[in-house]
Amino acid sequence: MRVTLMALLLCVLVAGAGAAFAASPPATLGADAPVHLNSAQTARYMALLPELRCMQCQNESLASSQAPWAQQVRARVRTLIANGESNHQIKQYLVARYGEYVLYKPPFQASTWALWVGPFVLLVLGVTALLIVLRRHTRRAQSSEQSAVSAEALERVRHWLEEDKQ
Amino acid sequence: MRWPYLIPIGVLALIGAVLALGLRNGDPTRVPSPLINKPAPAFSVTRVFKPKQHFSRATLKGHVSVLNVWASWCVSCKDEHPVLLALADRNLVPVYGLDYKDTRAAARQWLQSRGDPYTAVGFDPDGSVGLNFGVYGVPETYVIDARGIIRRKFIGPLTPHKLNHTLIPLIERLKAQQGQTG
Repeated sequence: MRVTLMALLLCVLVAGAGAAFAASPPATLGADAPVHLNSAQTARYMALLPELRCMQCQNESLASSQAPWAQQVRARVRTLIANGESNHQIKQYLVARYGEYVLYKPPFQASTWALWVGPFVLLVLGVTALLIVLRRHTRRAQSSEQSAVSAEALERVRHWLEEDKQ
Repeated sequence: MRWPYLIPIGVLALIGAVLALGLRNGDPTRVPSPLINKPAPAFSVTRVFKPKQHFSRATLKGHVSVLNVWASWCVSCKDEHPVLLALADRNLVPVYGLDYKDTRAAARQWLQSRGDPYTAVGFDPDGSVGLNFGVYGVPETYVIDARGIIRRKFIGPLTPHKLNHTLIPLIERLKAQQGQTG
């Protein structure tokens, strides 16, 4: 009984907090009327959504977001697919209104080349640095082997080691 | 040969500089609009108060104007409202409203109780005009010049500081340009 009461209270509190900070339109407003898609169109729709960003909750894609904006744009994407627009046209439609940020995979162009090429440049730089350091180390090791330790010193060390064993 | 040890420090300083620049650019959730310096999208809707009259791109043409996208369900629009009233009081330019994903009754009641800063309020119940303007979080405010070109977009509520230091100087500059070109 007490548990039920607590749960109820919690629900009321949560709902109250939700209402206080609500920033979403009435659920019945703000989207195109649902259109029917055939199976090929549905497949395209499902494949396209993860490539588009929800602008309202920016780390979610259109596929996962429940934000009102995402619901509206999903409905619009369905409408555009039903109207026979290609994926490219639909992306252009959204980019024209919201900018390239709406795409999860930015196109390769002047403003994004560093983004695409940067990791590979860093990889090449890193590998080069590693090779240089390694080569320098081996060279130093070789030169020290050749010069430093005399046969007499080696003999002494061997002697100590054997003493140690006994 | 001590200098290679400076490389990581240099790289770190570089990364630090890039991150510092990133922080300085302000709120990363406010994405610049591709519509800046482009003509406002065409639209034609009815008005909140006079449902038989139209509110369209033609309404905006021929003078510098401010278009504020808001809704009665929008919490931060309440904070912004006094700033819009102050802007309207100055009589610099018409302040137009676009009531986004809202009901007429709620919008009317909201304006009647808080004061109406708008010269005219368009009614966009399904948010389709908002979509064409690239709206994703109300309130958003556009400054549109006399040729109907969007010159600036404010995402989120206007503050007195933004009003006095950014919005009003911009309006005055645009009005001066308009005067020069006739």
